[in-house]
Amino acid sequence: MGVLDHLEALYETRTGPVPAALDDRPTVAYVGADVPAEVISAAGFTPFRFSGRAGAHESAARYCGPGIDGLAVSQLARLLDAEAAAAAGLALSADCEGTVRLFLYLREIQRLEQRPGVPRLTFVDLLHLPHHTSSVYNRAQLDAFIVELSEWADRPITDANLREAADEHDRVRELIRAVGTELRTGPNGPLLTGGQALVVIGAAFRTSPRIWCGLAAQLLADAGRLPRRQGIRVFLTGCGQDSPAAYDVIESLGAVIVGEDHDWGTLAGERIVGPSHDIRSALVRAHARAAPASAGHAALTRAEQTVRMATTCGADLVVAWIRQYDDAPAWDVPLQRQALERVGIPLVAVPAQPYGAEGDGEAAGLLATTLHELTAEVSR
Amino acid sequence: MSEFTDGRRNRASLPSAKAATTYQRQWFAELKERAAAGDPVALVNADAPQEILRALDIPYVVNQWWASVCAAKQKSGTYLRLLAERGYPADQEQYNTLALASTFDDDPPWGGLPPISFVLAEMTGDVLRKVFEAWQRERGATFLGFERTVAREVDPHWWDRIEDDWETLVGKPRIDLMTAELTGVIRHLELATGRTFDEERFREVMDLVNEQQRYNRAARDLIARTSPAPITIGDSIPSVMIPQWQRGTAWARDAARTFYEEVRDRAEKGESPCPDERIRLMWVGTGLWFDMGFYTWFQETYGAVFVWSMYLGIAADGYLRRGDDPLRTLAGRFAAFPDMINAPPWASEWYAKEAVHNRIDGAVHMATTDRRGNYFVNRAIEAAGVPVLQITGDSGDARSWDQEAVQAQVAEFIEQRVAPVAARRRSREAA
Repeated sequence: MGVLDHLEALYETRTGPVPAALDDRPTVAYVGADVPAEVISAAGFTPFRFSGRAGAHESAARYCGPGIDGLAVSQLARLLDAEAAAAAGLALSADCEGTVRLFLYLREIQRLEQRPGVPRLTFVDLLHLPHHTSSVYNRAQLDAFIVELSEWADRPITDANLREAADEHDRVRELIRAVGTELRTGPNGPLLTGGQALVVIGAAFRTSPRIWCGLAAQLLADAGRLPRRQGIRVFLTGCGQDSPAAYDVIESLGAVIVGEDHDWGTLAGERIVGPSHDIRSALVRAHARAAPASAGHAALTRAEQTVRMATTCGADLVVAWIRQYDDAPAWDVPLQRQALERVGIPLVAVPAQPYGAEGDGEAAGLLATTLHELTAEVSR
Repeated sequence: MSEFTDGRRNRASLPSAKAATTYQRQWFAELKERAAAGDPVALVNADAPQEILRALDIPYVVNQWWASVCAAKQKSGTYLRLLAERGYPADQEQYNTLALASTFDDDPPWGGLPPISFVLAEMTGDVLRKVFEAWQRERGATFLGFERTVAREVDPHWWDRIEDDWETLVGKPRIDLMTAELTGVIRHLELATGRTFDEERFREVMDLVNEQQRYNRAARDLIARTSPAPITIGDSIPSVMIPQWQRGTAWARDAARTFYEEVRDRAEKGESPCPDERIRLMWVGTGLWFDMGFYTWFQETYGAVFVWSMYLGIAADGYLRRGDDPLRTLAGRFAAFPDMINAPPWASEWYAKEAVHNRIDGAVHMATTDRRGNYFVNRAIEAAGVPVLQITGDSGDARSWDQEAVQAQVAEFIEQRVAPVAARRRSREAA
């Protein structure tokens, strides 16, 4: 089995039940990119990022009316179907309204019905305004999260444990960035499709940092064997992508996705803790502010980030993929469009798609037309 | 709040409702005069701590009130199109975006909003921050945001204790955060306006708000125990909400007292807009500003009276706070405000408690999205023995409102599910 196959096999575990243990450590599932996975690792668990699964929503349908992000609905359905029952616990954050609703509804379902297949849960309420007041609150939230995880693990979590875990996760983030610079935007052109890159990065959320870093390092070392990918270079913005469905649609039209600013992809490499005077404050900064996703962050911040990342990738086109009821990204689009115009990169916004959709006819038609025009322009 | 609908008109009959809408027009004209004279004006979201602006004498307009004016003037469709033309989504947060859209209109209601210098909002959901930042970009207003926080654990039955025990119920970290945010916002406003936040004046504002809400509580309790109901929500909404947006003033306190006294007088005399009341209904959700006459039809057809809306209910239960430190007490009022009406278990258990307290026979729950935790609200009300009908509608968007279809839907609900419950209640109460 090649290293890419190995990574893909790990990635595909996202759609199955959460394993009880990974790399000889019990797992803790988490929902929300803001959850400080370092604390989970420092407690002696392996963090496992819990995704949705297209088509899995039935068990949650009665609890969730229209207006809730389909990703959160799917995650709730999977949790109610006991797909995280083997985990030692479940941690959720306030990274977006979908996750907040997921927590509120799950907490209420457990109060009213007490589903046995749902693991014990906690919530780490990291906030996003760039103010000292929010940082102080976040620090208290992190401290409480550390205490709770310490109770789950039945052992103290020291700052030295946190430092060690942060170094380990920083190594993951360093390699995620290296996958971008060496395999997607390096001088030899893209060596991975966007879909493959999503798989490589996504595997990091489903195994221990130790195992993933070994595989990623091997993939980077073997880069010379990878074929060069041709096509219009697309940078993907908009909503998070917890499956390759949107990537498949875009790349089936002859494009290659060379970067993205959502936290299931390249953005996951940006939450760097780094050397710090105080590890807990550094964890707060990294998780609350360092890698602005659309929800919780200013449209201007997002637009600046999109321009920076898209130009670094050498993108010919930015695609904003919008998902129904994931409301924030559509509000970024006007500023993103303006900012990208200034650097000469066009933006096409896909009409809001249902969660898990592989793109409707309108979306595919719009993308095909845009890509066709760009290809003609590049040929001229 | 509903007097000015241009759809089916509301027939507000209380003098206080008429006085409130008259006052609001006069107040708005004066606000525009102050703005023209150079006073900075703020736009605030409904659940933002407006009391600090009152204490600083900074005039403000409530975003949702202005949206209700725009919707009542049948402007929502046009305004959502104006947003879309500027690249903004027109299918999200309509109720919260109409005010911004109104600034793109060449012929807005009441001559339009004055220039806005500050916007204050709490940031529930993913979009509000971006909406208010758009105010900053489009209109040069300074956005002063308050974080929305979430507690890990909560006591579902908050209404009994929150007046005094808010620190325990809401939680110290959330109160600490909002107190610090309020301190920062006050300092910013002092620097920007050259005014000084006077502690004594602020205490007076806080006391006036408590007095006002006590009258609202008394009115709510009186309506709850009186049949036939002395008023309907067509009266209570304007009589409560216009003073609510003016809270912290003597006028608002006095308006609430007048409202209570009118309700009391009617109750004592046995007067009612529907003397043949057979069914008591609750309206869950924001008001149907573009079709306020909707409520009246059921009264005339079935003797089914909408006696409850959240506006009086939350005024009665949600605002009263006592504490030695007024700024911290204000944080105790607002740090968990969205939980009370929009998040389980606080919202769901409170709606159910209100249904029982107000002797409700059926609830009509209007929602477009699931922001309120609709399943949990409906489940809790039904568990209290009150049938619920959920209908689709958005206070800020008349485009999808099918008046005839919804009317038929509610009529069927009343006939088939509510009438038997009401009959049992009446016979129980008669016994």
